[in-house]
Amino acid sequence: MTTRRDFLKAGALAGVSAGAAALLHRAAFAQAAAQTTPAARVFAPTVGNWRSFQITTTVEILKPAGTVQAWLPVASFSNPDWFKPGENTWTTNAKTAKMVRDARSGADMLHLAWAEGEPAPKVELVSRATSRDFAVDLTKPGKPAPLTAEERRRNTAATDLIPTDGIVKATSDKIVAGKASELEKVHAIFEWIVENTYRNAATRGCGIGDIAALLKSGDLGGKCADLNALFVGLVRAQGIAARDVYGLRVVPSRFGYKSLGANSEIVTKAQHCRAEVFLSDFGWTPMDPADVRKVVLEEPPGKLALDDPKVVAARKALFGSWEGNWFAYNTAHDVALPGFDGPHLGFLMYPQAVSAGSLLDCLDPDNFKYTIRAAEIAV
Amino acid sequence: MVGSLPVRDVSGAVALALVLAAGPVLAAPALAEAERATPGLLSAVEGHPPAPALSLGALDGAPVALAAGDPPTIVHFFATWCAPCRTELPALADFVRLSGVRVLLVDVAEPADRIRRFFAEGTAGAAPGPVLLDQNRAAARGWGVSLLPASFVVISGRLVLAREGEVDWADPETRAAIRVAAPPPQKNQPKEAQGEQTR
Repeated sequence: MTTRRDFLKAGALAGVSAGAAALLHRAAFAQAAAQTTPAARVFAPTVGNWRSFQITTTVEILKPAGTVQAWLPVASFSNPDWFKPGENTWTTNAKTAKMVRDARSGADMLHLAWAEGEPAPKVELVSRATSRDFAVDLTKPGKPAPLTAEERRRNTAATDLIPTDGIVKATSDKIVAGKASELEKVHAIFEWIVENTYRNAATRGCGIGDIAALLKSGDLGGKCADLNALFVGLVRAQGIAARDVYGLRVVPSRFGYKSLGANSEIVTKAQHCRAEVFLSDFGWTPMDPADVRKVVLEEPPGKLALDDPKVVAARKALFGSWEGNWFAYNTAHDVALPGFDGPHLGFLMYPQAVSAGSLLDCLDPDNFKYTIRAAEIAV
Repeated sequence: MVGSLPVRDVSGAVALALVLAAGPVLAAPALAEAERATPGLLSAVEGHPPAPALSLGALDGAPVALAAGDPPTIVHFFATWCAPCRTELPALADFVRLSGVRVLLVDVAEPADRIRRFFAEGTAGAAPGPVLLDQNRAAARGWGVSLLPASFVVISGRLVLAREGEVDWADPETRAAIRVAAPPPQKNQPKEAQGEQTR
């Protein structure tokens, strides 16, 4: 068993070590969830205090065969406005374990390879980050630093599953017809997503994110990786920079929205991707139309109308703000897994592993197997 | 082998030209949650172009390649996450069982474990043919598939019939369309005429 600590990103959490940090007592988690009753507060995040979180990913390959490898996403995303990645530490019986980056997509991950014949491949990865609620006042234009040419290229580019031509471009043009400013166009697309899509509870995981197929089918149901990818694609089709941010819900919503937070310390299935749009007068701006549809479907008592006050509040707030109860991994698309000569992934949000030469089902954590726990930590 | 499909004049029914890899079109009005598109008929592929190459590894079997000399074959692209795929597969299986037409299932971009479990759980019945693994979507792209499910009927190495979206395999016109496109060999006794088989 080897234990390693990755200090490459430790600067963001200077002075924090595994020994110095203390997990908040489990009761604190429940207390946080109970602090706000559903009717207590209107959903309206503002720029908040920084909070520190720790997620612990445990992987045990149940039926190892041949050369077993695993790739666990870690935070490569950072935005000084609301998310700073911290250190990663791990304990494993793997033959090799190292932090790697897929250079083309920019995704960071812990790559492990076990000796052939290892009967019980296992790893525990602990990742930390700080995050806070964030909001952009869209009534007060500023002068943010413009994107570099490379940043603009990357965040307006088509990806394997997010084309920006064809039906995506045609649909986007139709939505923004008559809208002059960047902000008006993006708002029109946000509203279109809220009005025309739905969250499909039967979708596995967070969805596939094949947005051209989604549009062509006319059945605009899915989850965040579908609906926010569609939002990003429609925005990119206008030449406006946008990005999916893939991550994990870690703690409850402080506004009492059950649907917009992790409601248990077990967050194995709490993956969620958000979106950011770069507006020339405001910089990177939080947006999450998929979560508006999640509130519609899931917020008790469920299947809310669009004019329900909870939905109205979320719809308004999630165009320009969000809560920091979430851990960001990356904004990567078409991710290659280093050391594996297999297909690229549409995105990297779940643990991945190869056994007997083929990928395990990352959407089946019980048979994979992996678990993810989250906690707020005091520093 | 096609088998004895009901014989009907379907010349009008298959006159539609299918545009593969269609260019930009405006999105159809979004469907509400309960309003899924209904299954439809296969359409004639204009000009019967040569079928794109298809050579893939198979789930739990030897690699499969489609050859020009193969018997009439349905090439069916699907994925386990695709709701209409899940409803279509049992109907396709019934069609294959009754008609004897060969089918190659092509799963698009999913881990083998997931596909294996999907068929083992039986929610969409057993796989009616070999399941090929298009892990990097290259085959789907090569065949111009922009929507799942997608079905192609290949006869003598040429695309004859196709549909993106769910096919109504129980509709007699579907059977008739394939029957017209690929008459059965004279000497073969069709499965439908053999009656219920027991072993």
